Amino acid sequence: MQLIVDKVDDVAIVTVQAEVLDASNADDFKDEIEPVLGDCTKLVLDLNRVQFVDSRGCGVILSCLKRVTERGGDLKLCRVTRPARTVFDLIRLHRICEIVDTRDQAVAAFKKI
Amino acid sequence: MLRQSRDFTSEMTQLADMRHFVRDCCAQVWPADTAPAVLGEIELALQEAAANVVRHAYGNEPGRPIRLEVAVSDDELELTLLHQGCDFDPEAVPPPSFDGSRTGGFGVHLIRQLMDDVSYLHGDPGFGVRLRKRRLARTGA
Repeated sequence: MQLIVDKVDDVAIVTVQAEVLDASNADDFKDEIEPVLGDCTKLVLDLNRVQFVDSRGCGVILSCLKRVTERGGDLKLCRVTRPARTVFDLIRLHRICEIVDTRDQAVAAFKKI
Repeated sequence: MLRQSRDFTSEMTQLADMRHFVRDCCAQVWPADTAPAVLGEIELALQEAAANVVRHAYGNEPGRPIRLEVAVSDDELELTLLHQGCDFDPEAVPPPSFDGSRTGGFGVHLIRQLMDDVSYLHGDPGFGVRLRKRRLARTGA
């Protein structure tokens, strides 16, 4: 799995370059995002390309959320596809992790804090 | 009624092939305008059930057999996953936590939410799980 990491000020935006985030590649995702999580407190995951997410995929997103919130930071999700959003709603992810439409909105959401 | 079965092995890399197999079976029977959301829900439930077989029934041991049986009628799909690993007791699974305190334990919850009927098989012809879903959502009375 390839991740593209952009920085906007102190916000790290990670674009997942895969169509699935599931049990088959969740460990790859964890390995590849680890360097980003090192000292990150403002993290955005851009999921525009991800068309299929399962519970394991949700689990690695929740792991990222735990890591950044332990340091007083936060995680936002943006450009979530409809199939992925269906899964997030079923596990009520939107209640603990803000989901916005665009990357700009995700970055702006950190400015409000 | 279309009935097909295919044998897979217990690796997470097999799950995509399972999903494609079921999607192809549905496409042979159901009209092309079947709601994508319905097919997506079926694929996700299958993914969760099959991942549970790999992870829990076989303890992530690769190369063990998983048989996927599919029956599709005009208005309903039935999936059966059969394995030769450990039996699975869904009642022993703790309810999911939605507060972010746990990063797993959502699979059984998702399967129940996504399918119309879920039953676990505890003997002949093997251990497994059977999932059913109607093509069209039942309208309220």
